[in-house]
Amino acid sequence: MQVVIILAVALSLILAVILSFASSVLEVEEDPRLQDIIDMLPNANCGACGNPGCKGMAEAILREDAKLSQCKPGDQDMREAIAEYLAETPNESGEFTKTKM
Amino acid sequence: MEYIAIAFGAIFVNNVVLNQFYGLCPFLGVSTKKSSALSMGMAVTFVITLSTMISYLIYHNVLLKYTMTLNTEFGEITYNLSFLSTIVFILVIASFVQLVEMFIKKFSAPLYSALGVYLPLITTNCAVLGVAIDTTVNSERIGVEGFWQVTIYALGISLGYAVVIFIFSAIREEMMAYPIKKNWQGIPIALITAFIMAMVFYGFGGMV
Repeated sequence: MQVVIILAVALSLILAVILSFASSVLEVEEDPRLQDIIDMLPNANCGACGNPGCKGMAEAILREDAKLSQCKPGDQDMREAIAEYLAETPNESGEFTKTKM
Repeated sequence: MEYIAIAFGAIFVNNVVLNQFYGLCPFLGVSTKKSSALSMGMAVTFVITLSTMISYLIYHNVLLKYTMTLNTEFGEITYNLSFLSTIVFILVIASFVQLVEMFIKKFSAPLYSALGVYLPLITTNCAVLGVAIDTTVNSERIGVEGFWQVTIYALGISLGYAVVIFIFSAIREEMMAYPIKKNWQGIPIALITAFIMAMVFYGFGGMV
């Protein structure tokens, strides 16, 4: 039994170190607003909006490519929160993203 | 000479898609454009070859070496750890897929969006786990033994995947130019095409 635990811990630690090293070397700059919008969406990943998951929906919102009402699990409060957030927060070059309800 | 025979058998005779029917989901999903099919084939080649090599080393140097003993009502039973092979292989494969995903996201953003959800889905591509298990647990059935034979076999299997998905995407691109009845468009005609390709590849069986 101990052998199994030691093996599982050792293997996952080695792989985790490799992956964390790789993620710091291969880091890609993303729009800082992306994660905030993902947090505001329901994160049901249902795909009802036509995008691949809530991350895809957040990218589509930032591209001004999606209406907020496409998100079926989201309620009125979520739509207002995202619209308010995007009206207040510009991207890094200072441009505002328009939202469609 | 035996390495050439193993590679030829893995690429054409025991082709992973058309003969063993592994990995059909990305085979149908990413084969609409030649460029993305080629990159998918390369990503799968990288993941299959490296994860099979590492799985083989872990299986023979760790899982078969160490044992655990259980006290049961029939007395003490000693196992080796090969019952852990599935979860260990999945762990290795998932890490490699994460690595490939980060790499592609960093160096080719258009490719990243073209492959879309099928890139992280290489983790659950049964071809990858299938080759890792075939070359370790079921290695007698395949007839490969030793690290280098397994490496050549894995490389051959993954090159077979890349070759077949590239040919299939080229056929599907050509088919765009022809009028196809509406109820046959898309996946139905693609499945018929895959069936005809499988019959063609069946002919390689007589060569080895």
